[in-house]
Amino acid sequence: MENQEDEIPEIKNKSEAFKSKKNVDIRRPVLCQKKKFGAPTILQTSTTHTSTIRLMNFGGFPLGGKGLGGTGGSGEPLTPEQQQMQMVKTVSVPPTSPSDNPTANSDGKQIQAGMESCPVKTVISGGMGFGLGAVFGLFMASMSYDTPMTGLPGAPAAGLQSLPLKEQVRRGFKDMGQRSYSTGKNFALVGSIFAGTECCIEGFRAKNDLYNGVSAGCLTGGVLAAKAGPQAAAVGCAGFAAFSAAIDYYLRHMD
Amino acid sequence: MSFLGFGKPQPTLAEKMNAAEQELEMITDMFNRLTRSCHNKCIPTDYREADLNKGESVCLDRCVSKFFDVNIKVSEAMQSQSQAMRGAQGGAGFSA
Repeated sequence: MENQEDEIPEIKNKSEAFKSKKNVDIRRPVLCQKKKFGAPTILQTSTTHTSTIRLMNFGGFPLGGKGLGGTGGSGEPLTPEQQQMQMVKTVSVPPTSPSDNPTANSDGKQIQAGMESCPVKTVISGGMGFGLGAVFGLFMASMSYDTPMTGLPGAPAAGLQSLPLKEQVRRGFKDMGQRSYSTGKNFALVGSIFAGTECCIEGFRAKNDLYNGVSAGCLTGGVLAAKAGPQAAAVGCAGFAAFSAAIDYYLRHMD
Repeated sequence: MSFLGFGKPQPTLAEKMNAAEQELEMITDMFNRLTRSCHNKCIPTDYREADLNKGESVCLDRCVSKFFDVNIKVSEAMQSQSQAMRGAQGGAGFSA
C-alpha cells in the first residue's frame, strides 16, 4: 500500500514506534526519566555538553552498508549528513531540560545539582565553619572572665574596676565579640579550604572514597601551617589527614 | 510512481519504515549497552545513599562521552573499510 507522497513518516516520539513493534526491549531513555541515574542532573553539571551532542550526532554510524538497511534500497551509501538527518528524523530524543518536564520535581533537581558543584560546596562549608567557629569562640571567650579584667587598652591605670559597671560589661562584650569573630574566621578558612580541595580531588578522581578526605585534610593542614615552616606544615598535614580519615571512617561505617 | 526508464529506484514506503525500525532498534540496543556498562563501571555496589554524589556524576559523564567517542571512531573505521572493500569489488567487477 503506497501513499501519494513518498516521504518517511516522521515518528514524533518513541511511543509511536513502540506500538508497532511489540518485542522491542526498550526502557524509557535515561534523559526522559524523572529519577534514577540522575542523567538530567549529570548533563547539567557536566562542563561540556558532549554527552548530549553525541547522542544527536551519530555521524559515524555505519548505515551505508546494504545489510543495515540504511539506504532503503537505493544501493548507495549515505553521506554522514544524510545519516545524521535520518537519525534525527527517526529518533527524536531531545534532552529534556527541567522546563520541559513539568511533572518532575525539576527545581529540586537543579538545586541538588547546584549543590554538588565545588564552588557552592566551598561557600556553604565556609559559612557553616564561620557559624560554628563564632559560637565556639564566643564560648571560649566567655570562659575567660572568671578573673578581673586587666590590661585592656584604654583602661585607666588604676584598673578596670574603677569604671562603672556598664562600661565594664560593654568592654567585656566587645572583647568577646572580637575573639569570637577571629575564631569564626579561622574555622571558616579551614572549612572552606577543606571542602574545596576535597570536592576538586573527588571531581578529578571520579571516585568517592576515604582518600579524598585524607588528601584534602593533608593539603588543608599543610596550607594553614605553611607559615611556620616545612616541619610544621608536615605535622599539620599528618594531623589533619588523620583527623579527616577518622571522621570519614566513622561516618561511612556508622551502621 | 513512474520511472520513465531512467533514474534511481526510490525506496518504497515499506522499506523506509523498515529502515526506521531497524535504526530504532540499533539505538535502543546501544542505549542499553551504554547504561549497563557505565553503571557497572562507575557506581559501586554499597548503596549508602540514594543520590549520585559528585564522583559518580563525573564518572558517568566521562563514561558516556567515551562510549560515544569509541562508537564514532569504530564506525568511521568500519565505513572506510567497507568503502575500500566496495572500491576493490567495483574494480574487480569492471575488469572481470
